[in-house]
Amino acid sequence: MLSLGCLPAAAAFLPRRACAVASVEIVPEPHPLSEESARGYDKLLGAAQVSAPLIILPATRQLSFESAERFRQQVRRGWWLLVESGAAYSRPGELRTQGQVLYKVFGLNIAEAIGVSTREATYLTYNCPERTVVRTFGAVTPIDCSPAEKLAEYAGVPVAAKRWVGRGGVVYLGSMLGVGLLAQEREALAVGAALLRAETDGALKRG
Amino acid sequence: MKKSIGDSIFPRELTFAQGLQLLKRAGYQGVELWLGDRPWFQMGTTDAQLRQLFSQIQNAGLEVSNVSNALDWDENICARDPAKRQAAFHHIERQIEAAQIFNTDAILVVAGVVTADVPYNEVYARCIDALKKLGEIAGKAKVKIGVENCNSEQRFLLSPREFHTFLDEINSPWVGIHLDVGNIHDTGFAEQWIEIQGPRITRIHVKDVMKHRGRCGQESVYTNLFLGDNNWRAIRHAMTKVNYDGWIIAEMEARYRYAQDQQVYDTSAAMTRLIAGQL
Repeated sequence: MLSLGCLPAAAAFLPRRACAVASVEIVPEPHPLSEESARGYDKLLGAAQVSAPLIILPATRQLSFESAERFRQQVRRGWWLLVESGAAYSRPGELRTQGQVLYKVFGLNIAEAIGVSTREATYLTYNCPERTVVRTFGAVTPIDCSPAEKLAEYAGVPVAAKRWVGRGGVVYLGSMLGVGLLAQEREALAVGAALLRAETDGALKRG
Repeated sequence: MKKSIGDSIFPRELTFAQGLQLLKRAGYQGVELWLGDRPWFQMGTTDAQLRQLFSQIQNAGLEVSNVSNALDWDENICARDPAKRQAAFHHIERQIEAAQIFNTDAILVVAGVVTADVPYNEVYARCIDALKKLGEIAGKAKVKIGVENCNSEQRFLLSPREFHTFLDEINSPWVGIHLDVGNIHDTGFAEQWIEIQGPRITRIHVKDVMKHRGRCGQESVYTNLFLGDNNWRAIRHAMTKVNYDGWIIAEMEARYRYAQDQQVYDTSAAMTRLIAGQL
């Protein structure tokens, strides 16, 4: 099972949840945006179906190489890892190390975050597992991925993707979904539930 | 009922002490202090300086009706930016501390500002979360948080029943409503808000509103008491119906262009008529 030993103390503030038939871990970082997003995922998990073990890293900015390596071992054994970008309101350069970690450990190639308008509503489009338009804010993080891996796009640029690793996989969300989940946004809930269901029951799996 | 008005009404050329003397001469019993508005009460003002202000207030023969803030529009508890949210939390905590120093039991906050970018549901969830936490802090200090209804400016909690449900969800005896009878515009009737909120009203702001003008550029919909469209007889009856006997506090947005001290006197006279029910 997941060890939280090397993570900041605040990261363990949400208990492990037994959801449907699988274990789910939400591992927030000790900053308000991550804690808020974590509560959004926790709310979603109250009603979602998850059939494979799952780790959720909400609004993450500080993923260390050691933690990522440990998650990779679990993913190879069949866990799924959902990594949500915490680019919104991050300090310049804060995400650089994380980008390097994600590339080295999971082969995920993420780009510099794109700032989005704070004066008007901004939306991105999920194409998979179902077509849904959701709000985003602050910043979105593009990801280099194949068409088969792409989950969502913003202005034609992929900003969410999945990747299979061993018997499990990684889902990278370049935009924050958890805030919308906490606010009970209908479309955010729909895509969140669909993502959890699909990534763990095989719909997103290779072949 | 007692009359109060904000220190924000003090004509610019007056010092704090001179402003207090003006209020006393005009017949007010109290003053509403606005954190972040005039230079004498800012976030950097120390406890010792606040105690000096309180001495001046007492020497002028006045009380502090409540502590408001002018900062929520830029730093709100619903902000997405965690730094702004934290700043909002801090200035509200400072209001609570100041209220204790000023020996008053109520503060005013503007909770929630819906914008094109920050949607209603997000604002609602963050406000509930923050006010639950702030309610615990306020309870320990024995200070009530009055959440003001700034309906049109906030684009939030537009009906009295929704506001009631909002307070139900916060579920704290230390969080109520600072009801502004001028803020309801053409989306309802102030007297109905008073009836529905009843014992949850911490303080009442008074000003009048011209419901059919609308807001265009710098044009204000607000005006002096009895010049606008509020049904003041009904408002007074509703106060009696819910046994409201606390402070009524004038908040005059539109200002006299000349002889600004005269507005202080005129407002006081109108409030006396309102309290007496001579309408």
